Amino acid sequence: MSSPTVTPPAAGWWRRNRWALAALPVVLVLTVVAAGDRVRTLWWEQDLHAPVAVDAGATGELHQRVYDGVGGTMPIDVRVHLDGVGDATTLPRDMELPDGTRAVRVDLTLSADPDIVLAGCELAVRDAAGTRYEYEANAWGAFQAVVPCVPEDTPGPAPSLGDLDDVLSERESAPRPATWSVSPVIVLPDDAEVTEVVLWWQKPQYLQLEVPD
Amino acid sequence: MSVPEPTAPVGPAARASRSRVQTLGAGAAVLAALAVGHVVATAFPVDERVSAPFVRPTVVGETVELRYARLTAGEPDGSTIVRVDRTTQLSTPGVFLTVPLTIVATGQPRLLSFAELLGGDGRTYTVFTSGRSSFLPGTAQPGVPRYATVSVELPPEALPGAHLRIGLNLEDQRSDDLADIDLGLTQADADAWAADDTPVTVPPRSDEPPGES
Repeated sequence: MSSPTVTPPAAGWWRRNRWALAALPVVLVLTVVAAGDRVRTLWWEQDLHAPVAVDAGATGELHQRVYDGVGGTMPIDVRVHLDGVGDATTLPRDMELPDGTRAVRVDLTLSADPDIVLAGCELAVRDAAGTRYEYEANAWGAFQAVVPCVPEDTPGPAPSLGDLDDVLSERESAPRPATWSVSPVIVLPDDAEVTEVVLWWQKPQYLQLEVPD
Repeated sequence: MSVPEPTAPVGPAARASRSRVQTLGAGAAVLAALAVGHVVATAFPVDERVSAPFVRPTVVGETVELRYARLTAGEPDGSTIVRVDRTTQLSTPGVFLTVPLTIVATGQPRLLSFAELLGGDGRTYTVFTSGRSSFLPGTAQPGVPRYATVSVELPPEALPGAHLRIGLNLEDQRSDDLADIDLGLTQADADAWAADDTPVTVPPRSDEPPGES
């Protein structure tokens, strides 16, 4: 006959599951982070979400590393001053404005190291409601500069095309000056009031320049 | 008469057996929960409803407000011959249907690229650039009306009761606004156009109203 054994008190639920409970917050965070990657690729990088705000009359600086298209990144380091926004008194050659629209000229002065690749910049103006009117190089009958923020004759270095660089001849143009001015023209509805100019290379970062009164 | 001792000692074998019963019970409960979840998820068309586009019905001549633009369809026309961009002429044993559209983008420049025709015969006629149907309105500046014409090649029996659907993204209309235009077509239209060999025209997209460019 066996002697009666003393049953140890059953361990509580919290104690039995203590390791799983400790891991739970970590797993929840990992789940959110893993699913959140789509927020970055499908939303954050798809539009202008990260402004560098520049007051009227001030000079703005944008420092960003952008994808170079051949698997790496390259720096954008540029200083931008908005000299003014006004009705374009002279339209680009062959430009015909549709009824109910007007053309505004955006005067910008930029500075950057001549070796920095600045191709691929995009320019737009916004009204008080946030509606964005973009610069179009080939529209309304006119051909303006493809890249609105570099001098047309001396745009500076072009982005690398990978292995093709070796077989392509060097583009022959003088180096871009350290400081230059551009005046691209944007077409927008007559009643749109421009309150800020926006300039970007790769979303979501952008320069948001307040228009001086 | 003996009364079972309430605090009767429980042997190790009995405890192991109870623990196994509990494990099996928990496993069965998990499986049951999965089965119920599966039934709930498949019994109702939840997936389709969650990702379905927001269909905005309208008729010819009436402007519909979409998330990305205001859209107005003009009077449809049809013939067995279509002339595209004043350069290409195509003929069909069916009918070419053309619908002039006025697009006023909102918020930012918009490139509307999706069009399809829901035929009165229950079939869907897709519109894609490499086919003989076309819809190429280009990127429209906000507030500046863009005039573009859709053309669809289809059999005459699809015309009565046909609806034209216009959306923003060519590949993906899920969870976004989609205009659904009742074209108001009848059997009489179908008969007339199937016997007509006067070409209908698809003018190039323009920011000037048709007939003025």
